[in-house]
Amino acid sequence: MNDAAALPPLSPDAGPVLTVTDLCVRAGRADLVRGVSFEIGARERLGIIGASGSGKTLTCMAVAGLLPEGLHAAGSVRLAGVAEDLLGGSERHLAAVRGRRVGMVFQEPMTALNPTMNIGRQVAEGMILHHTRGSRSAARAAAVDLLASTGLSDPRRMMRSYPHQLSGGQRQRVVLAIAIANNPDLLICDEPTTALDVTVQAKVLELIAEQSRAVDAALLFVSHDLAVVAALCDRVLVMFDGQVVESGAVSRVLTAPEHEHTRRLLADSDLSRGAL
Amino acid sequence: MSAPGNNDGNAVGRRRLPPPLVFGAVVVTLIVAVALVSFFWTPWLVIYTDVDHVSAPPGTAGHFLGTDLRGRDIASLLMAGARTTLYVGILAVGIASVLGTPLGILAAMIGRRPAEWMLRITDVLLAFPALLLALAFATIWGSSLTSAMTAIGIASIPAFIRVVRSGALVVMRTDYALAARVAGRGRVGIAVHHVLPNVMGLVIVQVSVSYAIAILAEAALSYLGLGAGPTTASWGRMIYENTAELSEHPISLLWPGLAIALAVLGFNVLGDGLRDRLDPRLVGR
Repeated sequence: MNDAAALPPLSPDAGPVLTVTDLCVRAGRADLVRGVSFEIGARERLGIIGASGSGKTLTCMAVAGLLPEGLHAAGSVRLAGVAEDLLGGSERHLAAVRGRRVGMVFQEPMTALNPTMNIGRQVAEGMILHHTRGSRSAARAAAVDLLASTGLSDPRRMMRSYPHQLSGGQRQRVVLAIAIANNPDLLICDEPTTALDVTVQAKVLELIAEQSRAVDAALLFVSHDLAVVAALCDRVLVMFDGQVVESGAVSRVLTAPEHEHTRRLLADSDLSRGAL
Repeated sequence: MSAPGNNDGNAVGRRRLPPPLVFGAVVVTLIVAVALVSFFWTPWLVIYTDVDHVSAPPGTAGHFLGTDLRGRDIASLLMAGARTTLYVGILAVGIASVLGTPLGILAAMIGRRPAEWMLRITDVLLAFPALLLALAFATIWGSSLTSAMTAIGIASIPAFIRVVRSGALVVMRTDYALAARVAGRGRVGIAVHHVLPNVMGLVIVQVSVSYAIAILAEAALSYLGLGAGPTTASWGRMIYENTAELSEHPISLLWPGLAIALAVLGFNVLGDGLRDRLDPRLVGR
């Protein structure tokens, strides 16, 4: 899959893929996210956990440049190999950079695919847009391979299917195929398994881990589910009320939580119930 | 042709069609069929005046629905009138949808402040009665069906802008539109590939509703003598011409009146039925 690389490859110790410094998101005068800073190293898997409304999704959206109108981000978001700050640059230029280097998997598989476009076109779209596979037909061929690599059976038939013909798990696999199509440096997953049932969840998680490894992408994984983050991530940030209250290695944060809010999250999770 | 968020489209498809939708579709199909047939065949020539049977009751001398005060066959006039009805609808709704749909998508994509301006201008147009605009057009360019329906079409643009904008705003916040933005798709690409196909359901609904309004407006304008000329068969004009004999031969007024009512009802009910099936807010998750 690396024939697509048109950008200088990142060496393993080239420093962090993503550096977020003092990120704030404001709606009018209210601060929704305050002073969030973190780094993600190459191939590192960082989880963000927190209750709903803690600002974890807004943090993701700010990194991806997708804040809804009326919300403003301040601070700095830098991608390795990109000279400009991702906040405050020209939208047109940054969109091109982001599209090539960042992939995104969303929470709701039901709305993550365009209902009026067949799967093949949607998977090939990003590759055609960034000319990462040379020609249109090469992009379509790559799309078939991508669908196959996400474990979808009969990818050729899948190419001609429409989203309503697919189950939630299948759709999320397609979304993942789209996200990794251009071999991104960073894969952002915003609660990718919340809307799926438990058996499918485990498979999709496994697939996210496997595929992000296959394309050498770092992972930013947002969830309210500690068990999921524990299984997948190296490091974790705990967010509460728009701020990072605790961060560290997953094993440390989940076994010896320092902040009271982390302890409460832990007490509410499946993790502690499973341990009992 | 699925609306945003309408993800169980095939499950809905298997359910029985609601009776109003079927009724609307049948009425509209009937009008189209009658209009098409009238090009090749009408019981009598539309321009033929049967001077021996003026204002004849239904069933007289082969005149199925009778004749009007000049002896023309009412059934034939009604059939030819269906043609006019469809023509004016296509013209007015064509203008409104072709201009209103892209403007609505634009209003959803240009950001809040410019959109506010656009909507305020739209409001001004909305506050202007359609018939008044048609009167103004008739004064400036002379009364004809085309000028009347151009006015009605322009007056219907605001409705399209509003409906399409609200749908487009929903689509713009769906994950696939966001994903397209992350992927670096430009605004035009998103508008054409993601927004437009997903608001088509709303556009279709608005087309059928506007169609009903256009039919009514044509009838009203032709009745006032500002629409169809004397040589064009039009339901509104039939009422106008037969008003002189309202007291003696009310029945010749009844038929075009019924035809207008049926057509308006048909398009309205079709629009309502389609809305129930295509509107994501009503379909639910």
